[in-house]
Amino acid sequence: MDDLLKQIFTSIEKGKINRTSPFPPELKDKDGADELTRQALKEGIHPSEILESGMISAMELVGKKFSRNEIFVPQMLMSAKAMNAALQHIKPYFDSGEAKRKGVFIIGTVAGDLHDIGKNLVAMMIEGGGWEVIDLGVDVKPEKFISVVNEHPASVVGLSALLTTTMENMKKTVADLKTTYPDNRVIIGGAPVTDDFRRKIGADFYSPDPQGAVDYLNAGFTG
Amino acid sequence: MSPDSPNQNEFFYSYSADELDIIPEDIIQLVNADYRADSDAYFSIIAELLELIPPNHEYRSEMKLFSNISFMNDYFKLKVENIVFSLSEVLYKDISESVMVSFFVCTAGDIFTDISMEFSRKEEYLKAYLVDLAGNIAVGKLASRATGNIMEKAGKMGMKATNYYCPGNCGWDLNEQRRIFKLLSGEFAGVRLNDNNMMSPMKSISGLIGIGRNIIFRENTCELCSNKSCIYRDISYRRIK
Repeated sequence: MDDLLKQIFTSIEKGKINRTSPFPPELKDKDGADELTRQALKEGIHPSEILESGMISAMELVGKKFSRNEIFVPQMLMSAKAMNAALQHIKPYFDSGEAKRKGVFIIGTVAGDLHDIGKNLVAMMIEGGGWEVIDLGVDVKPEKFISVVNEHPASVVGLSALLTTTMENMKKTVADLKTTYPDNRVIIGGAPVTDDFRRKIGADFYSPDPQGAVDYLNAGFTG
Repeated sequence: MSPDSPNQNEFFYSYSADELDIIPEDIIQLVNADYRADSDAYFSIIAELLELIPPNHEYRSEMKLFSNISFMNDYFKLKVENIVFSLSEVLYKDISESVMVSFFVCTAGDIFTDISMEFSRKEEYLKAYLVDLAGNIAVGKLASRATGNIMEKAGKMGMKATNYYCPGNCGWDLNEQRRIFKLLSGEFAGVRLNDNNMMSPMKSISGLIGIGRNIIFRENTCELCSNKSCIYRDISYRRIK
């Protein structure tokens, strides 16, 4: 059992999605996260254990390696994809209640900004951290964020901006969200964003990398 | 390359995909310099992705020369005709010996963004990212070529040209892009600026090149930038051709 969980861990850490995926070369022709997770469930390992010990812990390591510049965006994307392949097998257990998400995270790139790669990366890492992610896409207006928070009252919101010019729209989005939902946490990120800017606009947390956001969420909003 | 001159101070260049020559190695050096073992796998994926760009896809570059310029040392300002640009100190130092300047706009068109977004929609995020990088490399190569074109023109006038500088880099405020497009009368090289100072097509670049007898060509403008972890820092495609 432990061996199978370790293999799931390794397949996600290394970005081995399934048997046919070419990455990483050293795991060529071996089972990936997809097959291993299916096998683990078949062998009776509890979905929560697979999720916590095999999947979430692997993504945590991936996030930390990225923060330390030991891996780069492509490796992280491959790991996230492997995580997603494994997650497909766990999703039915979320519905049945046998496995639980940590909460709901709503994410989008702010109005006027069409950049989505950084936002996607954060979304995948947070989903890999055990959260349900609602991705609103790019060029998201404040009222859209507000309406989705309305549907998920306990959610946390993540805002992304890649341009100094669209940071102004981030400021407005935070202001509008905080006016309507002062208790909902708002995390911000993106290349030009800083913690100083976060303080000025009244957001709750800024992280320069995806793992910082995951850690903040998983630590109960401390960071 | 097909140079065309709408008037004697304005120049338009068009390149085919073959001429611009984006190769898998351009992208590989951005994605995994320390992961040589993965290079073969990346190479084949990237090569397939580059095949998605039609050989006859047009890359555009347009530039305009201005000689009615003046510098204001106190505030690091550059006045071009009736428009005043606020430069960063480091940029000002590099171009303040110029007697002429050229503004340029280059674009790789919508194709890279369209393909990347399509991959994103299919949740093929690695491919989306790699195509996006290819688009960034294309505009970097176009800007380098624009600089080469200006260097050639400067040489014919017995002068030299600086490297290129772009709003959003070297401490130059991204909002200055608005002034560039105003100076260039709105649309240039088929590129427009939206209300958020975002260029359309997205894979475009605008910038400034100084021209003069006493200017110094800074080989590596990345040394002016404080973003030490930028993946584009010091990479070879920025070299002027």
